[in-house]
Amino acid sequence: GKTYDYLFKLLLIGDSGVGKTCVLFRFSEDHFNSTFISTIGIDFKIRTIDLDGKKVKLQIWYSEIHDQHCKKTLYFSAHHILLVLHLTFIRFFSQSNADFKHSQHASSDVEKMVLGNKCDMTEKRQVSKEQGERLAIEYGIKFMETSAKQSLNVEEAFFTLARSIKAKMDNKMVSGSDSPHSNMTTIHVKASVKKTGFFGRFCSIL
Amino acid sequence: HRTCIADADKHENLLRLLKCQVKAIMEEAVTKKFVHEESTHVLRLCGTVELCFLDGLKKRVAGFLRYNKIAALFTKVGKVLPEVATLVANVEDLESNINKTNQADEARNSSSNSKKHLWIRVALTSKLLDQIAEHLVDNNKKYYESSSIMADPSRGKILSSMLVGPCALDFTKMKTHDHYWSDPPAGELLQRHRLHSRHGSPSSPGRRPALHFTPLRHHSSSDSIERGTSFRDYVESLHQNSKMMLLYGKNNVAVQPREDVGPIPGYLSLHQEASSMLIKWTPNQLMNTQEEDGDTSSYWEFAICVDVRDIVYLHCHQQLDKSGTLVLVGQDGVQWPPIRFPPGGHLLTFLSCIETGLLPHGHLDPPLWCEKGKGKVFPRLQRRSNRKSSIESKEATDFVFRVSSSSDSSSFDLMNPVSTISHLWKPPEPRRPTERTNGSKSSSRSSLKVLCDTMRRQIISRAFYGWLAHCRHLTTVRTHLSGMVHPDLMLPDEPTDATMGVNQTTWAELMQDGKVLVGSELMRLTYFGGVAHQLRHVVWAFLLGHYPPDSDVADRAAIDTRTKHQYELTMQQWMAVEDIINQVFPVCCRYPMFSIVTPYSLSLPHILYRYPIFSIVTPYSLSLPHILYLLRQQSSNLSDVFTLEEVREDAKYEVIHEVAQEDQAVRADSVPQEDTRSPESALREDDLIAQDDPVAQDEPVAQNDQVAQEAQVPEKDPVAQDDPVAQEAQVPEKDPVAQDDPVAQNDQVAQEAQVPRDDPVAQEAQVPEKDPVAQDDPVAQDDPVAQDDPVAQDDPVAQGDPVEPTAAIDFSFNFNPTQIDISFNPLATELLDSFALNLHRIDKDVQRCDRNHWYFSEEGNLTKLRNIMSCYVWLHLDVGYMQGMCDLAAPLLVVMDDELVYGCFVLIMERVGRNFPNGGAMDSHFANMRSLVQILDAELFEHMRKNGDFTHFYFSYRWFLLDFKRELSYDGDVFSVWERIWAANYCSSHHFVLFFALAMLQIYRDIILENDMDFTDIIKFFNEMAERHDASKLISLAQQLVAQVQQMIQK
Repeated sequence: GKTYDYLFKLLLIGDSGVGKTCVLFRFSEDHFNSTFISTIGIDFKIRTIDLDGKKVKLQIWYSEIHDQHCKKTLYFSAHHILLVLHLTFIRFFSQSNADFKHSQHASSDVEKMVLGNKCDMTEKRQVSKEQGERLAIEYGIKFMETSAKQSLNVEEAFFTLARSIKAKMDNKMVSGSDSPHSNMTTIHVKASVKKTGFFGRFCSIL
Repeated sequence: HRTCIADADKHENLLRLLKCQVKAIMEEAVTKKFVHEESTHVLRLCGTVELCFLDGLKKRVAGFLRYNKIAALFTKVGKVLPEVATLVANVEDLESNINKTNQADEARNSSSNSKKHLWIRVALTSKLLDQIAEHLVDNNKKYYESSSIMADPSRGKILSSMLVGPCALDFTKMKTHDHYWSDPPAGELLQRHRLHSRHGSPSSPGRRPALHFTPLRHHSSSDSIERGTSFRDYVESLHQNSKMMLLYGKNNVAVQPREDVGPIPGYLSLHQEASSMLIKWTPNQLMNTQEEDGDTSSYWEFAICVDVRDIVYLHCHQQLDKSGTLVLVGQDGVQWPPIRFPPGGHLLTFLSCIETGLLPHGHLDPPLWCEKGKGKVFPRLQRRSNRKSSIESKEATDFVFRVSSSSDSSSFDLMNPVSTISHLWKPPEPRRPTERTNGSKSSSRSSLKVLCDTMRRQIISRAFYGWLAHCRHLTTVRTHLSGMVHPDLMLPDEPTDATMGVNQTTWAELMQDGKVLVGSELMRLTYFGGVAHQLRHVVWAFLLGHYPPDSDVADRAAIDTRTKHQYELTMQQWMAVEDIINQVFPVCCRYPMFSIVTPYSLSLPHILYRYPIFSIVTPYSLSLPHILYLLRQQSSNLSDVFTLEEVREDAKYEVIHEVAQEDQAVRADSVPQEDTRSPESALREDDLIAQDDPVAQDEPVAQNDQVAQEAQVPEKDPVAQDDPVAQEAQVPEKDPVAQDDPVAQNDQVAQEAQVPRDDPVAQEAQVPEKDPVAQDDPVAQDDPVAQDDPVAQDDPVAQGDPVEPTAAIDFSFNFNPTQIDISFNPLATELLDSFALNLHRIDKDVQRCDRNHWYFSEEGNLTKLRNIMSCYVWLHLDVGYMQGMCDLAAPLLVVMDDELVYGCFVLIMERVGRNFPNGGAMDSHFANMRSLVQILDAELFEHMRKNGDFTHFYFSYRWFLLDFKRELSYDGDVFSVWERIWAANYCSSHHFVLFFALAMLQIYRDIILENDMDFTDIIKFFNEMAERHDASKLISLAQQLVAQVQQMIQK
C-alpha cells in the first residue's frame, strides 16, 4: 500500500542566496554545507514526517528558473503546489515581492509562512525580530526565525506549517468538501542578513 | 504419400495462419504506432511461430529439455550465432526473474502472460527471430525432419522472410502504474532496468516503423477462431463461463468443411454474450487433445465460430432419416458448410434455442410454431405436421428462416457495403463479410461482386490512410528539423579515421608552419574523437574561434597580446568603480539607512499614498527625496513604483536624524564604518581622487571618517541643500554616530582632500542633469571612472561650499513638497547601483562555485574567476550577472588558466548568452525538444503528455543553461562534451545541445516508460543521475541522432 497518508507539496521562494537550499537540506537531510553549489533549474526534496500518527509526506520544491510561465506552472498547476516565499527583507519589495503577489492570487487555501533565515549571524543581522513579526502580522502569516547552519527552528517551521495544513484539511474533510489534496500552502522565508554594500541601503518598515 | 499431402496441407495452413498474424501485427503497428509486446496479436504470432519451429523437429535437437524444446533449439542455434547465445542467456535470466517475482507476489497474475512463449517473444522483440528462422531454414537438415515445414523448400523460406517484418518493429513494454514500489532512487531504477531487460533491445530512436504496407489479401474472417495459445483455453471457452451463457450444446454434430474432406464430427454450441450470440462448432479432434500437437492445427481451419448477427438465412433441410442439415447463410450470401444434426429432433431444438436467444431484439421469421403441449415445431406449411420424431411424411421438408431484428425490419441489408466500411478503422474484427478461409473458395458465391467492391474500398482506404500518415510525417519532419542540422553528412572515416581525435600526432599533422590549414579537419577530428587533454588549452581556442584557423604563430601572439591588453584595461576600469562602490556602499552596514515610522502598521506604498503622517528616522543625512529615491531603486521591479509627485500634498513628513530606538539596542558598538552619504556627494568627492591616491582609497577608515564628518555637517551637505528646510536642520544631539567619531584627527586631510576638488565640481554643479558624459572636466574624460561619474555635473543640489566638519546637528523640518527639486541623474547612479548589485551577486556565486574541485580550493583561482566575471559584467552591464555564468567559466579556467580564458568565455557567452533569463533562447530550446521528441520518439512523447504533461521540458532547464556542465563529471566528461558541442557547430548541427539532450532522454527512455515517470519522478531521476552519466555513450548516441535526422531530411 501507500507509504504515506497525506502528501503536501510546498514551494520555497525567495531571492538567490538567502538560503533556500540550505534550509531544505537541513530539513530533509540534516546536513549543512556553507559552500553548497548555487541552485540552477528546479529540484525538490522529500521528507516524510509523523503528525498525530499519520504519515505526512512533504515534497518541497525550489527553483531558480525566473521564467514567468514556469513560475505559474509551479504556483498554480493542478498538482497541489505549495508556495514558499523565501526572501530577504530588502528584496521584499522587489523580486520576491512579485512572487509573493503571485501567491496572493493563488487559492485562498494556500498556507503561507515566512522564515527569516540566517538568524545565527547576529552581528550582521539587520532585521529585528519585532520587525519580522510585524511584517507577518501585516500579511496575516506566520513568521519564524531560522538558521540552517545551526539547525534552529527549521524542523519546527516545517512541522508547524504541515500541522496547519493538515488541520485545515481535516476540517475540510469533516465538513465534507473536496478532495484532500487540493490545498495549497505557502511558506515565505526571508533572510535577515545583508552581506555586501549594496544592501546597505534598505529600509525597514515598521 | 497420403501423409505428404496431409503435411502439405498442414504446412499450408500454418503458413496461412502466420501470414494472417503477421499482417495483423503490421497493421496494428501502422495504425497504433507501436505494438505492446504482450498484445494478443503478438502472442498469437508467437504461438504460430512456435508451432512452426517445433513441427518436425528432430528428437535429438530437442534434447533433454523436453518441456521447453524451443529453449533447446535456441541454445543449439546459439552455438552457431553468437548473438543468439546472448539472447539465450538473457531469456534464462528473465525466466528466473519472472519465477522469482511470481513466488514473491502471488497477487500479480500477469505472470501468465509474461511467461507465454517467452523465448519466441523475447527473440522477436530483440529482432533476432528472423535471423534464427533463416538459420533454421538454411540448415534445416541439421534440425528438422524432411517433412517439416522448415524443410519445405518454398514454405520454409516464406516463413523466415515473413518474420522479417515483425522483427523490424519496435515493441513497447509500457505498463500501467504500479503503486507497489515507491520512489526508488535513480541507481536502483537503472539496476532494475538492467535486470528486466537484458534482452538487449537497442535503444534506438526513431521508433516509427518504416511504412511497410501490406495490402489486404484474404484475411481471417469471423470464422477463424482466435487461435489462442492453448487448446484447452478454447475448449474451456466452449463451456459456460462468466462471460458467455451456453444456450445449446450438442456433440456428434458433423460438418463437412470441404468437398474433399469427409464430414467431421464435432461439438456444436450456442453461446450468448452480452449483446451477441455465437454459434460455434469444434471438431472432436480439437476437443480431445490435451496438449499442443501440431497435427491438430489444421483442424482449426475447420472450426466454426459465427456471430448470429452475420447470419441472415437459416436453411434447414430435413432428411428422410430424420436428421437435419442446417446451412447458415451470411449477409453477403456466402454459405457456411452445412451442419448435420444427428437424428432426434436436434435441429428443431437448436432452432428454438436460437429463437429464444434472439429475443427480445430479434426473431426468426417465420417463427417456429408453438404447438400446445408439444413445444416448438417447425411452422406448418400446408399441412399439419406432428413432432419430428413421429413424422410420417416421407418427404423431406425444407425451411428457410430469416433472422431479423424486431426493431428494424430491414436491418439486415444484404448488400450493404456502407456498414462494412464503418468497421474500417477498428482493429481487425471478425465481422467483415469476406471470404471464408475454410477452403471454401470453390463454394458458390452469389455476391462476389459486392464482396470484391467492399474489399477494394477497404484496401484503398487503408492504403490512402497509411500514405497520408506517412506524408504528413515526412512533412513534419522536414519542417521542424530541416533547420536544425546541416544538410551534409560528415563521416567519421572520410577522408581519414577521425575517431582518434586530436592527439599529439594528429595535431602535429594539422599544424603546418604553425597554421591549421584545414580548419574543417580539425573540427571533424574533434567531433568524432575529442581532444587529448594536454592539447586542450590550445585547441579550444581554435574551436571557439578565438584563434582563426589560418593564423600563424605570430598572429596568435598578436591576438594574445591584444586580448591581454584589453583585459587589463577592463580590469582597471571596473576595479576603480568597485572601489568607489566600496566607499559609497560599504560592505557592512550596521544601521539601517533609515526607518519609516508610522502609527499604522502598513506597507510603504500605503503609507505614501494614503496616510499623511509619518516620520523618517535615519542616522544619516538623508532627506525624503533621497529616501524615496532609494526606495524606488529597490522597488524597481515593482509595479507600484511611486514617485514624489504621488505623495500627497498635505502629507506631513518629518525626517528625524537619529538611530532608531530599537536599533540602538541591537547594535553594541556604534562606530560606523561606512559612508552613508548619498551617492552624489560621495562621488563628487571621490571621483577626482585619482586612483592612486593612497589617502583616499586605501584607507577605508579614513574615508569613512571623512564621510562621517559629512554626516555631521548637514548644513553643508550638498544633498541636503536642496531642501530649504534642511539648512536650518541640525544634526540630532543624540547621534551616537557623530559623537563617537574620531574624525577630528583627519580633519585636515579631509578638508584638503575636499577643498580643491569641490571647486571644479561645484562650478559644474549648475549644469543640468541629463548629460553624464559630455561636460565632464577634462580630467575626467580620459578617466573611465569619471565618465561614469554622475555627480559632477548633474547635481544641482551640489551647490555651495564643500562640506566641512562641524558638530553634530539636530534637525527636523517641515517638509514642503512644492519646494523640492529633485534632480539626481538617474542614469549614472543607476550604473553604479547596478554594478554594485552585480558584484554582490558575483561574489555570492564565486564563493559557491565548484568548491570541491581541486582547482577552486585555492583562493587565487577564485579571484581569477571573480575577475573574469566582473570584467564580463562590466562590459555587459545591461545583461548583468546571472547565476550560471560562473559554471560556464569554471571549466575554461581549469583547462586554460590564463588570460585566454576571458576571450574564450566571451565567445561562449555569445553562443549561450540568450539561454539566460530574458534571452528567449530557452523557450525555443524547449519548443524544439518538444518537436524532436514528438517526431523521433512518439511513444515517449505520448507518455510525457499523459503523465501530467511535462512536455514543457523544465527538467532540462539546467542542461541547456550550463551546456550539461552539472550533469557530467568534471574531469573528462564536461570537457569532451563541450568540445563536441563546439565542433558540431561546424560539423553537423548548430543545435547539438538539443540532440545531446535527446540522447539523455533516449538512454533512459525504457526506465522512464517502465516506471511510468511523471514530472516529479523525472526531475528526481535526472538530478540524482547528475555526474553519473556515461558521456561517451551519450556523445555517440547524439551523433547518431543527428546523422539520422540528416538522412531523413535528405530523403
